[in-house]
Amino acid sequence: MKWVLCGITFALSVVLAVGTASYRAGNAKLRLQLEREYRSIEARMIEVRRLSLRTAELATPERLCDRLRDALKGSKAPQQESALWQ
Amino acid sequence: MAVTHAERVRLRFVFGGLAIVPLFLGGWFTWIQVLQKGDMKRPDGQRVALSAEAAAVQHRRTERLPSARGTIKDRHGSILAMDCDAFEVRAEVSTPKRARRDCAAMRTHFRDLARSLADALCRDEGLADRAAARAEHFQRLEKRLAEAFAIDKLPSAGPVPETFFWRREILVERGVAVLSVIEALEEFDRGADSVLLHMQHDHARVYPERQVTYGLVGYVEDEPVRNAAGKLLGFEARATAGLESVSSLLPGAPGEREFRVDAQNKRFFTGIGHAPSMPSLVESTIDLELQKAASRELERQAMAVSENDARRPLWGAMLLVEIETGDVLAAASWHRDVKHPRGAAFTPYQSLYEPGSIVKPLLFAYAHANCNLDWDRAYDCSSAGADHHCDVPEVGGRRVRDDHACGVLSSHGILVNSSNIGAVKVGSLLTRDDWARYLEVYGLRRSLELPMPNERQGHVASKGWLPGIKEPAFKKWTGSSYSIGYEHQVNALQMARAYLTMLSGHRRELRLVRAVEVDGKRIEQPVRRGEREFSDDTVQLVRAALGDVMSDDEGATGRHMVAAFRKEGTELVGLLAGKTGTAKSRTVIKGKGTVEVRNASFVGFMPAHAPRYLAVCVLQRDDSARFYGGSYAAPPAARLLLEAMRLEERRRPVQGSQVSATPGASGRGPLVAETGQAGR
Repeated sequence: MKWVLCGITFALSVVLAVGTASYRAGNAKLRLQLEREYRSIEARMIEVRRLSLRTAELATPERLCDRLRDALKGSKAPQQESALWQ
Repeated sequence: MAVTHAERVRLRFVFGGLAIVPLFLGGWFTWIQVLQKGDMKRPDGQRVALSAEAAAVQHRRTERLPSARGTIKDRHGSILAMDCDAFEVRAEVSTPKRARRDCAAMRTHFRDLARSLADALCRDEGLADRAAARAEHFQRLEKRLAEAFAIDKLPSAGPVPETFFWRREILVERGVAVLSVIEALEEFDRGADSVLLHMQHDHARVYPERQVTYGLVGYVEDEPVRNAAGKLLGFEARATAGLESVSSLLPGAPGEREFRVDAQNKRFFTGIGHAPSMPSLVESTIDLELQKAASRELERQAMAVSENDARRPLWGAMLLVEIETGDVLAAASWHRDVKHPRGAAFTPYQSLYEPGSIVKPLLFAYAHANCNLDWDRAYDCSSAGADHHCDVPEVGGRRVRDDHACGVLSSHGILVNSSNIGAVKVGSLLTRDDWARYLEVYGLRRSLELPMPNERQGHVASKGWLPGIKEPAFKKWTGSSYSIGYEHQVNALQMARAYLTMLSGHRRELRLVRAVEVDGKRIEQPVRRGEREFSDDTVQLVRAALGDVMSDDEGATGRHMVAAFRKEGTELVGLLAGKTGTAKSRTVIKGKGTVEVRNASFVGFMPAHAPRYLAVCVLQRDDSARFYGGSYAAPPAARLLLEAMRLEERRRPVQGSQVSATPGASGRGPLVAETGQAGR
């Protein structure tokens, strides 16, 4: 009987060791994923800041005026036509 | 259940066998980790401590999170310079076995590596010419790899020598902030077996509207930092020009973050660490919209002087100052022969010129306040000959020339006609001590004390101040030259400060920084106002004369510009006041030696009766052609002042603009009608 108990204890300790190892491995895997997520969020935050600054640069009065001028150039001909019709 | 002897033996054998495994592992662990712990070779020769901490150190890494350099903003919050987060990418390159076969394979390996990294760096979709960028990156990386591994010293063929470096670190790129590039580099890192990329936190300095703020905001240069052995440790940002040199902008305490790595250098999350300190903020007095207007007007005027590039002005400076506070709202710089504005002098601060007639109002205000100048006294300013000359008896008979015949004039008339003869006669009221004080009151020899390096301070010709020079000789030569703006040189900002003092009656200083914010604490820079120098009467008299300079009066030096603006639909009479100046002098130009130059300058303020804005414009031309301040320097300054007034009206809150839009109620003259749609 005592040998059976020894065997069960040994088996339990092996299960415990394997369980602990797998738990720790799962933990490490999560940490790895978390680190990747963290890096990826960091990169996206950098990108957001870069793009917001770029957008602000593109929206200066001069550049908006240029874009409006370009847009008006395109719509000049139809406007003249409608003026004649009126 | 009875266990037989044979079964017992079998069980003992099985468990005994199983027990050997942990015993063997335990023994092996003890041999490796305990008994041999001191025999492991460490880089520093130290024995590894038998502790959990020693084990933890092996997989613990710390990354530095550098603090950002401070942000520079204009007076309305527009960003002039700021640090953007980015990565500095470094590569730990080792040579794989397949490349160690022979030298040719090694070269091919490094070429492929440079190409792969260049490809990753060119994933930016915003690149205008990706092929050119890729070629540039490839060339640079190939060169860095060659330098790091001394590939040039490899034999052309045959086996790789034993002395070859097997592992080296190189800088791949700084300021990597584009997501697609970062992702491409990470993908490369995961796939490459012989390269380990380190993405270190860094910052890239960004300057929106760079072209108009080069001299004013300045720039930061990355200087390499090396240890005693000459090994490159990194780069340190160093500001050498403009507002960037304000010490409050220096980065604060860096942050730190820990993570773990395994044997394959995979990173494991342990926490976000502590963040670096917040960047400081410098709020400048600059108005970005007016700065752009000043740059645009100055460039347009410089280009309009001549179609021929060689006949255009050598340099130009234009600035706008708010009179109430002394705030520099705009300071534009223009150069003819400079290829890149980075290397050019910032003309409002660093280019000196002889001011000419624009000093006359300063002289008259000083003489009226301190030397009993009778404003209504008539001075005989008549001249003779085609060059309108006169040997002025008040200064020992020195010959002085006018631009046109003037006749008898009061002080008011002398200023309106800009008579040199009259100015020298008024200047004769000043003694040598008076002239020394005159220079002191207006700060013509004093530093501007603005937070920018490399100022070129104005100075006077030292000959006149030698102890041996007697009072009559000083009056004849130095005093009379000072009266008409010669024998001393100033920069445009110094001239603005002098006029600021004259117009406000107090000693004044210019201001370029309104406030500094460090660690969330805001420190306002006070408006500097010194002792009173001129009474309101004196200021009023000079201001009235300068108002008439910009009129249709016969002989008024601004009459041609007034007529030209009227043709364009803008009435300047009663709105603009100012003084034109034209000086002929000699200066040393690099590569050309001493050459004759003409300085066209103008100082104006608006509105004429209650000035709020002051503009100074200077253009210097290196030929002997006629180049008048009234024709060349005054128009851009007037347009800038008009723009400042329009902008002020537009920025006024809607309710305020409705009140001021009532005809005649605001007292803002002709501009009110133009800005009826205020509050947009």
